[in-house]
Amino acid sequence: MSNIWEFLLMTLTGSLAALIIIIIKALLVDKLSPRWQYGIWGLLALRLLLPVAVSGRYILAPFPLLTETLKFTVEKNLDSAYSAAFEPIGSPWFLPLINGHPVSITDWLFAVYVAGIIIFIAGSLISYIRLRLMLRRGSVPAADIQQTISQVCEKHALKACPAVELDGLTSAFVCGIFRPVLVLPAGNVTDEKVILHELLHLKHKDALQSVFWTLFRALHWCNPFMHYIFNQIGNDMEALCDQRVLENLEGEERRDYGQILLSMVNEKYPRAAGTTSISNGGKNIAHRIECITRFKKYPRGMALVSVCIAVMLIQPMFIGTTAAGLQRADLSPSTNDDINLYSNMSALRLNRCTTMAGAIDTYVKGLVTENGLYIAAASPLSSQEELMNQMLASKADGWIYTHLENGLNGEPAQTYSDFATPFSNGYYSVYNLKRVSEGSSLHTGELAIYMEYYRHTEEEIAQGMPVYYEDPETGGWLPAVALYHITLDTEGKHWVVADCSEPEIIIAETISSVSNLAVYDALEPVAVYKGTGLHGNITAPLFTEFFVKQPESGQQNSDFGFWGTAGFNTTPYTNAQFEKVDMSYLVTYDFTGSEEDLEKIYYVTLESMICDSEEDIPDGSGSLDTSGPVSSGPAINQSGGGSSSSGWGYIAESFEEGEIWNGTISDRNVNKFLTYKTEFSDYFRTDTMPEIPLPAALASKCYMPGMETDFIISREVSR
Amino acid sequence: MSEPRLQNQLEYLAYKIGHIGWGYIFMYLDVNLGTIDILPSWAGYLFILSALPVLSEYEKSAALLRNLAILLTGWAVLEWVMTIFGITSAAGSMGTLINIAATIIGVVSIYFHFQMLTNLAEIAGQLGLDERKERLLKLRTVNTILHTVLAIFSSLAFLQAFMWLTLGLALINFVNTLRITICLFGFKSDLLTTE
Repeated sequence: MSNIWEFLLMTLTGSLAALIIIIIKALLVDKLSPRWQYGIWGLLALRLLLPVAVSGRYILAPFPLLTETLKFTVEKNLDSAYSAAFEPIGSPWFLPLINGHPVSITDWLFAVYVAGIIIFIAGSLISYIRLRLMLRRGSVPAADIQQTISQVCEKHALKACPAVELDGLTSAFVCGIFRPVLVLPAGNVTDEKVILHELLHLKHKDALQSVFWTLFRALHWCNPFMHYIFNQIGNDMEALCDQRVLENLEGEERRDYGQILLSMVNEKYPRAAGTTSISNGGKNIAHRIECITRFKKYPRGMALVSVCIAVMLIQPMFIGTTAAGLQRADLSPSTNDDINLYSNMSALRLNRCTTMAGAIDTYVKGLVTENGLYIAAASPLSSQEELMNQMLASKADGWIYTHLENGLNGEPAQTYSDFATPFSNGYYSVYNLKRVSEGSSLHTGELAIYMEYYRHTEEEIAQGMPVYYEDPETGGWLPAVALYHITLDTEGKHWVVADCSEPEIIIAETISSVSNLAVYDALEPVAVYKGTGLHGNITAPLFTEFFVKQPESGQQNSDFGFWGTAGFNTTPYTNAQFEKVDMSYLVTYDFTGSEEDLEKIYYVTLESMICDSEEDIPDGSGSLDTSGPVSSGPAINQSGGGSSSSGWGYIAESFEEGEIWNGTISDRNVNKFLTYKTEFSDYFRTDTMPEIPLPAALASKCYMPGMETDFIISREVSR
Repeated sequence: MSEPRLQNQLEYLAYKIGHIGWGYIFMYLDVNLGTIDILPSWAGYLFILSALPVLSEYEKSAALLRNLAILLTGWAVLEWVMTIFGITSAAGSMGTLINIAATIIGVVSIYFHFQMLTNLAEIAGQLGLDERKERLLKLRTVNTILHTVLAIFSSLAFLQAFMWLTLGLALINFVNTLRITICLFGFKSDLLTTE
């Protein structure tokens, strides 16, 4: 941890975990063994060792969101050295680390916290050193005491350690980890059961465990609840040792052991790191005596339920429950307050996009719904402040705080029935998504948002133009596409839209076909394929189009926006995956023969097919449309087209007598698509883009009557 | 102790074990009329609660289950009322409290059923019904493991992708609960036919 907020989150999370354990222990105190009662604290130890809030998930209570909001509210007015308002809380390391000099009040608080740890540990260390120095003044126990220790060791198969007698002690204890010493009160006869207790501590390395717990106590020195918890843990350790002693004793000896404990009720608690003592304070001993009265040897079957209970607690303790949740835009003005915005901004910092497709989906939905929070969720942390200020500024215009202008000036395509492809795949896609360079996390692409209608600008409407662009033939409103050049990048483990251009609006010429949207004309191809044949050349620019997986049809939500009630999904999916990649190409055959030959051509067909690999390249045989003109009557540039079942794209043109072909025939095909449901599914199991291999070649066949069929294999010449 | 009285005690024990069997039916079967579960789990716990004093006459540790049974009954009542009013989740601090309480209740429930079935098995052993004892212990072990595994499955999102496995486990759990119920009624029958 590197700032006070990370400590706050860590100690709150630890406190809650401890609270749950202590409630469960209280409910099962007389039911499960002291081994379980102490062992279950191991879950707390692990919880305290593991980082908190890195994933945004939380342990039963939304402390990450609360802490993040609190941090943001405080830090936005400060210029702290250790924390920043727009940097999410989340440290992979539980130990404190100071970077630089403290500047702000929160920096100083963290510095005081770290100083407290140092003082606490130094205090414990000094106590331990003083104790060890005192032991030097101790004397070797008398032979009879030495013999008692040996007998206890022999009887219970325990390992002995050096023993000393010290004046002024009321009870025995073990001091040290690497060179432990059994310390006995001088002048008193120490009961062998007390010696057994201390030697059992030695056997189970309880002194080492006490050092471990002391370190945690130091880390949470300013949290009184955690001090209470660590006292309970110490007490449970002693109760477990008592249980072990009782398991080694029989009948009356057990009662005597209880009497010994009773005699210590008024003794002080000499707690020190690296030591274990049978006497741990009157109140604690009273509790231990209660435990002794319940003593029994627990049946083996109890181990099963003990383990199952611990397993049940793994999920709430370590994995956490649902993340804080990216809050959807609430368009009600009642939420128009700054704290609500801070909370929402905090939530999105904890729920950033984990996949590239997620970043695209979140960003697009931010654009479409004009929700600045969604855009911020998919934007770099460095742009958060600017976005927040823009959102706050929109309040002056009567918007609620989430508003950000999208510049679309149109209505996103809502229903599939309005248009054919590409709308059937959703209302947006990304063309030519590609990695900028090998090894780089930067990717670029052309984001296309399809709109059913495109509005004239306010100025144009004021000049008497209709609200929407109209088809000159039918008077219908024209569809349009908004093209944004986007740059995607990673920020830590998350994906962001690092840059997004102003939209280029492409409006359809007529409403009759969406293909009138000249999207491809505005795009650079990802690759160009070229080939030379007997009578002409092939040029084929290739484009890819990526689609993000959306919920199944029917799961659209009913957001209400300027377009009315949405018929499409506007919920951002920060962990979305890509669903499909289309591969399309515009194949053009340019005739290179003589003018005389050109004049003779009254019919031409062009077939083409993508070849994934060299093995897929055909030999040129097979069907070819040689049936002649598609229409018997006179026609100019009359054409037919489509794709055959064998995967060949096809187009034909015929010319009436006297008309001369211009020597060029083109066909656009989208006959290659890959989806996660096919054998290509492995490509889609990624947080980044599916690295779809480009085709090895493009095979084309061009037929002109009276000439040998031109069979051309085109190869990639550029990317 | 005279023979007629012993017979009377056994009949009473059998009657109460029958209550526990009914308790399991109420706890694990949901028959809904609209949002109202007409076989509420809290009624099941009340059946069990009524049987605990009798069980504790044979197995002292069964008395320790009383407080847990009251707690589980209270939680079941809360869940039942929430379902009636269509409250499936709560937000804010109430949601947090419910999350914490649900975690604790889950743990208590695992222990409660484990210990109660252990006590029933021990009682069967005391009465010389060794086969019944072994069967109850086996069912108890399977029940404890299944509930733990199912709790993990329901809480880990990535495991929920293995829907068939989750459904399979739920089905096994249902069958095991059914077997526990049958075993309890069998135990009751054993006691009534014991001479």
